[in-house]
Amino acid sequence: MKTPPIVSPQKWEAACQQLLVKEKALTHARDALAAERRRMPWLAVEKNYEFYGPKGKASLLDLFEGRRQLIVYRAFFEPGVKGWPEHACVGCSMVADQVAHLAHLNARDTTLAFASRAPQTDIKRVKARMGWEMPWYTITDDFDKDFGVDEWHGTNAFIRDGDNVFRTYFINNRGDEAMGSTWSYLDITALGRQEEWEDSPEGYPQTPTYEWWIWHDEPNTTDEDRPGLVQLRAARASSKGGDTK
Amino acid sequence: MNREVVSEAEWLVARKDLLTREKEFNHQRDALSKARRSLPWVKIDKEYVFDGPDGKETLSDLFDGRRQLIVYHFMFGPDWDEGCKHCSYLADQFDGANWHLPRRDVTLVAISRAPLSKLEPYKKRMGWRFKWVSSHGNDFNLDYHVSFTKEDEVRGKVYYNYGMGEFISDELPGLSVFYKNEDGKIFHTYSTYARGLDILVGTYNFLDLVPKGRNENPESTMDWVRRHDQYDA
Repeated sequence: MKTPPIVSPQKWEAACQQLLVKEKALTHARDALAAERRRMPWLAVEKNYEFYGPKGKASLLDLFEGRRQLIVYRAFFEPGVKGWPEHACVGCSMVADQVAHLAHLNARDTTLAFASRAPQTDIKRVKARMGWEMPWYTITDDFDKDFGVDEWHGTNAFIRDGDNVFRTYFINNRGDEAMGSTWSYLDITALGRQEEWEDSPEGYPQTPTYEWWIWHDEPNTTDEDRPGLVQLRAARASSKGGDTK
Repeated sequence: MNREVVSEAEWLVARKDLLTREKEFNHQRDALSKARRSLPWVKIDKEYVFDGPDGKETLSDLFDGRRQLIVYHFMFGPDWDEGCKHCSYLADQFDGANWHLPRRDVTLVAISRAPLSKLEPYKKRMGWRFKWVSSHGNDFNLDYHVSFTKEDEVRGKVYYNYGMGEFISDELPGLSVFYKNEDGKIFHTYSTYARGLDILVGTYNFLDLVPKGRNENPESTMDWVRRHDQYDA
């Protein structure tokens, strides 16, 4: 790998100052985008949905846990998804790893919940082993189909006004990536995400996009047949629960 | 605060329109990340020794066998009794990312000026796993412009986030990135401060999706943040 020019602290600071102008512009662009999200129209949710949770049957309204806002991440964990029943999908597991202490979201009147087709006994076991603490429900009806998450992972946001629930937002693919901070950290390192699609200086290490993902309890190996990689390839081949750019 | 409630077809039109701009934003972000990777580097010739859970460690040791090191400059001054609550909010996001960063040749550590005897009980109380070392007695925090001296306080002006500003506190937040080459030479590649840290807060990324947004006081953003064991039930 050919390194960038090695310069004096003064020259480096000057280069950083130039970059900082662009970084601030992006931060403000992000603020403006979030402001637009808050002005999106709402869609009334009129159908009743039934989930199973740790305490038995739950409606979509119950998922709010009394808070004003609800975010539901649809994670792929069910028979037919590679890793079953020991693991949820490798990408969804990575998303779960990156959910920070829930006290902060809750302090903003917001509940974050995960939903999958797996029964509660499997969800409970995998959550305990992986050290995940978010509420995680079992989907029993057309919730996934109705909210665009029957074939792919995705994030839906809801708000309630009393007992009336509204869908306010939906995002998937790279939008789901933005929820996790691993990618944000990698974006500030010298090498970036080290994925093939990135426009990096000549000779930088790069591997196929997403194929470095692991279950965090997986042995540290780069073997071609490690389970996470096998799962990703299978998911891509069948276009279910996997990940695309 | 209720928004207009529309049909699914109308909602989709509005959503797709926003999606176009979200995609543009992702591409802008990719371009910015590329510009970061094209920044020049500064070679580090100074030796820094930190107090860590395994004893004395140099900056080189902190890489833990990897090529890239991210240092979070955690605000915890030598005289403070607790770590900064806003840094604690950021730090609540570290352990999840830290399952995966090593797979991309990255070691993430936090460094503070408070002695290790203060860092360790606080880390235990907060339930964190990431490595946290003390720069007590060395110039690391001053050199990376995240701690300030009595003289700075008297002068009332400090160099922070690539410019001169008012003295606010003896500690300010930041994050620095280092690279170690085949010969063991260490380079400083990047530092970011203030709102540059915003993208590292996954909680904010979630809040940016919900109708109320971050719902922050513009005069004092983050004034709602508490240590995670200090929110009202």
